[in-house]
Amino acid sequence: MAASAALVLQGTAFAQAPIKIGLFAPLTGGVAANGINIRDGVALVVDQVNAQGGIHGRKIELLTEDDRNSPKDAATVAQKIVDSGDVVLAIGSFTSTPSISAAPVFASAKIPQIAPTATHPRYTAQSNYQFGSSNLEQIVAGHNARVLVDELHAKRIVVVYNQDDWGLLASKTTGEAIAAKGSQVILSEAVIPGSKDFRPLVSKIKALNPDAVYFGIHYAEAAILVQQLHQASVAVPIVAAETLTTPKFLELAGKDADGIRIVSTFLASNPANADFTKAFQARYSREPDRLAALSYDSISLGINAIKAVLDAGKPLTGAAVRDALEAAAPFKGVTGTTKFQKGTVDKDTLLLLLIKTAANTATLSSPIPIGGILDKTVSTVKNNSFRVQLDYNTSWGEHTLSAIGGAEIRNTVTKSDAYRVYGYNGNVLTSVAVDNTTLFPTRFSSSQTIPNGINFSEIENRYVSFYANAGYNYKDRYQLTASARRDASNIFGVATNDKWNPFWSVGGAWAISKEPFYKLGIINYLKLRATIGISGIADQSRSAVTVIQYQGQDAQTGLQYASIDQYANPDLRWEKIVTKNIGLDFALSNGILSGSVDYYRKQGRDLFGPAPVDYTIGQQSNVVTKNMANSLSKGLEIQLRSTNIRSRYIQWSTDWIFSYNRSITTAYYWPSIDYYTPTSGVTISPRVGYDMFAISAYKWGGLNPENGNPRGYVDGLLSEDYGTIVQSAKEVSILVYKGSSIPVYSGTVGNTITAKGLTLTVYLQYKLGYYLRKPSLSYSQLFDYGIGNADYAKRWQHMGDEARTNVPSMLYPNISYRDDFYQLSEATVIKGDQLRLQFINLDYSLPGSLSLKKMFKDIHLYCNASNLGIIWKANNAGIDPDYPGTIPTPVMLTFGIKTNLK
Amino acid sequence: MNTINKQIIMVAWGAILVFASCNKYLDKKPDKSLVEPSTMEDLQAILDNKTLMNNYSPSVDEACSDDYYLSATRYAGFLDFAQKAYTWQLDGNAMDQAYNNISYNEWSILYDQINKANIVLDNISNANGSSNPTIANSVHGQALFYRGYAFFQLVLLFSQSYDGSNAGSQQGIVLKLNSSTEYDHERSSLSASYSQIISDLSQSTALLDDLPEIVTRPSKCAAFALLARVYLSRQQYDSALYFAKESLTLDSSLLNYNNTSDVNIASNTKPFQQFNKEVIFQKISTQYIFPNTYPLYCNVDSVLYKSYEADDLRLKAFFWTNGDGYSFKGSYSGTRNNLFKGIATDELYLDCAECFIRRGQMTEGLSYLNTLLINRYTTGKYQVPAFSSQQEALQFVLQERRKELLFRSVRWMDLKRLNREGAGIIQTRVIDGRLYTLPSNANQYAIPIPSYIITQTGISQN
Repeated sequence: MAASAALVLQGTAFAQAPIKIGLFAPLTGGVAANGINIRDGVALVVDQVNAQGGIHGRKIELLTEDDRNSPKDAATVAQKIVDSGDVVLAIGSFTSTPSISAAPVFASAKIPQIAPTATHPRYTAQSNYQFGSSNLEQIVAGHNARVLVDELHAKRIVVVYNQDDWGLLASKTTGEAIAAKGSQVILSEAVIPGSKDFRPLVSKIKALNPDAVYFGIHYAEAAILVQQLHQASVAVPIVAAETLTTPKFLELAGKDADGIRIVSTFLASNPANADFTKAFQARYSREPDRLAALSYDSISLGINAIKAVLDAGKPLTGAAVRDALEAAAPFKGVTGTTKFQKGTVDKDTLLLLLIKTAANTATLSSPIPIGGILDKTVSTVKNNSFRVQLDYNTSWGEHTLSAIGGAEIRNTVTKSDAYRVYGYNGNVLTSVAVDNTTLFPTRFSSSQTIPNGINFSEIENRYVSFYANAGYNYKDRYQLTASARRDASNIFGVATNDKWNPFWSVGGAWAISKEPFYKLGIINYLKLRATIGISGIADQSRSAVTVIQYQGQDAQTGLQYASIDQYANPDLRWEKIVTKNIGLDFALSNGILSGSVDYYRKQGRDLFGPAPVDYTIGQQSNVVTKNMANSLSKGLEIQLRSTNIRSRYIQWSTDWIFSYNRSITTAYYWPSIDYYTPTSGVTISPRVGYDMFAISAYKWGGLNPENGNPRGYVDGLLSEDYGTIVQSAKEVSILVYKGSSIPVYSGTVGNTITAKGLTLTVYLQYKLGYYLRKPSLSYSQLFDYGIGNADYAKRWQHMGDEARTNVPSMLYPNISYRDDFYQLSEATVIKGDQLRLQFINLDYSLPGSLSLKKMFKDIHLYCNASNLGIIWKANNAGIDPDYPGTIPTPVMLTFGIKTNLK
Repeated sequence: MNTINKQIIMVAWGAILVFASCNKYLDKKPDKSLVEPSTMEDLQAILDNKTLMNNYSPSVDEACSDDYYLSATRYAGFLDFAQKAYTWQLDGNAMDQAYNNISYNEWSILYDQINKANIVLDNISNANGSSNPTIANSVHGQALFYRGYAFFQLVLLFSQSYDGSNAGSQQGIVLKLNSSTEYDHERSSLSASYSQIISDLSQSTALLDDLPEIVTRPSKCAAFALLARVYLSRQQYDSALYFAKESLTLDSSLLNYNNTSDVNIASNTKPFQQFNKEVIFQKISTQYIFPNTYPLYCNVDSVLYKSYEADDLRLKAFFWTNGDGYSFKGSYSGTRNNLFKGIATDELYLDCAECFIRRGQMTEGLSYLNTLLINRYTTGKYQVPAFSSQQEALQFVLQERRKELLFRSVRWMDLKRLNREGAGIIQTRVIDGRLYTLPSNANQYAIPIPSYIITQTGISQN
């Protein structure tokens, strides 16, 4: 009894002894705010644990020391902590250098040390008693390089770093990570802690004009540097080390901190950290920063380890705690999940923060939650069609009559519902609600609500057509044909009668080779054809009434609102097109060559085109659609099939198609001749006698070698007076006529080779004699909407660049005339001529001896590749003329078996 | 032969069926969101297009007024037309340059608003009556209000200030009164323009609801307030007083600048909320064709800035220092960079004060002024002024009007009307040591019409 009582007594006495934990951080000096955050993060946990009765009834005693961020002081205070006896864990310090200098003291005393923020690999390499709770610098550098190069597209980067172990390493690793991504560090400059005048550095940066600057420095120096950069009008994107997430930086830098990007593991306003943020705020009346969070996690890890030792009934020593730290399961804290392994930690939570200061209080907030943005559109398409047709054939004597008549109706319903969610996490299928009604400040325009991405649409297109064809043949030599059709669709706002587009044609053919007098033996088939047809087209925008379109709910007023979709335009007449065609079909008697030649003339009358109006009309447009033009198209089409080799083993034939088509504007009904603006080939060009769809452009005078401004011509002299250029383009002489926007010559060449059941077909397509406008960089799009173009990389930046580029220099604020001039100048016109590989088809017909052939006939294995892309193009701008500004249709490969049952 | 006949008959039947039904078949709307405006709700939705009907207020009037000045570097960075507006050298070609390629320019946007109003007015008699007849009246009244307001803005921009003795021969504006693309390409006389404005607005007062659901929609209160402005611009102060008082009867709320719930004076970006209780009708500038008075570009006139007393809370609520001078942040739009150009109750207090004093009713006039200013000064610090003459009191009220209504385009109208009565205000600017002046009643008080509009329409230039 006595023994057990003594044991209890002894146990109680032992339980009451506090658990001693050392803490050292810079609590005074230039980075004091950081040290204090570390201290407060640790103290918060210690107090929480003590308030709940401690660990196994033992309170925690925190020994706090100030190392003033000095390596010398760090070693001294470390020794002081060790000397106080029975310390089982040390937390500290802030940066790597003092942490490293304290490391041997703790290692020799067998006390584990957790440095919440040391990122230098040398720290954890000191001994197996050193633990780091931050991502190592290499990992951090990788993330920073990603932001600099992948997101900001910076090619030339300046790195500014703190003159200490951490800074040197940050500079080195960041530089390496940048180089690995193909960009270049053009200047790497150290900042001595405590410096206040950065003007020499600022002027260096200004002279180098880098694409971005990386700040590997602490808040005091960073705040002054960013302010001095802005005072010198250096508006370069800045990416900063995580250390700048401290509220102290925002307090010192104020509005100048706006736009700085930081990759961070912690954001106080992240809802996941609400408990911690609330507790910290309640205790210290301020928002916790990343350091407080990291030290909060560090001490929590340490306390878990201590608890694990005591839970296992082992004596509590530094060595036991070290082992427990190493063996600890991954710990989910406020800075992500931490698992110590051989001195490295890789935090899983990473946020890209963009600093944006609000009125007077500088805080980081993210109205758009962290995480993915999911845009989802569900659409369905339904097609129905119905067709009736009557065929009639009869013959008497040498006469044959055949006719068909029919009607068809079709409808297509396309429904789509779209929505967007923010903070989407695809792993657990969660999203975060956002505030769609408040206006938030934006970087480029003044303010904006968060778009909700909701869109419902239901489009139903209906078509009806009636058609009739009749053919009469006499003696198999003389043929007459007639055809008529009417088509209509459910265009909205159009009178029923105008929905119908009529078409009729009559034709005749004469099979010359069947005449008894025909004696030309070498050509055994010859037929002459001719047709004339007239069609009428009502324009889609021909509207009898005004049509409005509902736009949904206004975010601020909550009212449904509508815009005008079509203004009533009752004066439009139909377009009329008369087509005349004459053609010849032929075949050689030896079968080597057959084909046809067609010549046609197409006359257009009352074609729709843009007519200038004045703004007083009130349609916020200076053009309306009217019957504006007459046109004439002439064309020639030749189709040939040649059989090049015809033997038992191999057959080779070629299909040739060649066509020529040129459409000219023959009249333009606009009373004033001075209506000329650069054309993009989309609407009818008003210049009589020239291509109907044409590209014309402002005459280009190259970039100004002084400043990279685009230059045009006024009165024959180089000019940067864009207003005058745009105004005087009314005169034909200012505009350079480039040519048709539609290929004048086009065609295909297809080769088919067959040998031993294997058939290879290769089709080439060519389009020649036309121009297009390439998508180009618009600074107004870039500044106002963030829409860029790869040409940005080619922009004029230094004197001499004008020799290699036509892309104007970046100017802020933007001059919209300058943009307009460049975009509509010759500099953005390219030739469209091209040759492309249309498709390749390989077909293998299985030999007749196979047993499968008993059940199947004609078994074919085939492989088809289409959309194979360009073989040759005339432009050297790297643009596929069929897909300017868009991604070409990807190559399509088809493999298949085709057969018929016997 | 018999079977062929049967087939023909069957097909004919089929064709007839298809044909008979296809007109109906083709009447199906391709897109559900497309509508021929046929109900009051549709017409209301046209007018509720806030972006078109309430934003995009003109900027050229402010650019030619004297609430601001530009730093030399800012001036140098501006395009030709903006510089010319600053020094009152605008001509038709400079206006071309300003408006070219901008479909929402000041001419087009105002005529667009007129056209929208005309579309509503042209369709209103055929529109299906809503179950509630007051909605029909309200929509009708709103369209008239919008049209009258746009005509009035055009008059203020492109005509000289109203001269009662000569208005029949002063040039007014093109009065487009229906939605057709055909219209009379002629400028009416200024007196005819004003008649149209007053007719539209006074008709609207009989149709509109007293107060709007939301201040982006016109109301009777707003129509009265606008009429007060119209009569002020004609220097007809009794009529102006009548309408200002009518408007205040419907809504006389004032923000107290001492209450942080009313005004967050400390905020550098958003001291005032949008749709705050002083706002009667919302109009704002969301684009600045003339960038001169974009709040981040221009400095507040330094003499004007110095005229605020230390206890005047507007000093802190309206201005912030940009290092070079003071920038304006006091827009009632709720966003610093979008200037408020609509109508608010504070203006009506100043209208009443001015008109009463002009009539010699000093006590009544000053009581309106004091009510307003008590809400502008730190509580207990406002000293009720005493005046020895009517003229002195009037000058005081006019100065308070400048201090309260700056950057709302009201100054432009005031410069025009006060000069017309002989105030003799000469505006001056200095650029690179060179002095530019705009004499009282100068030709430049009517903004030149863009040359291409002159060419296209054949109307006469100012």
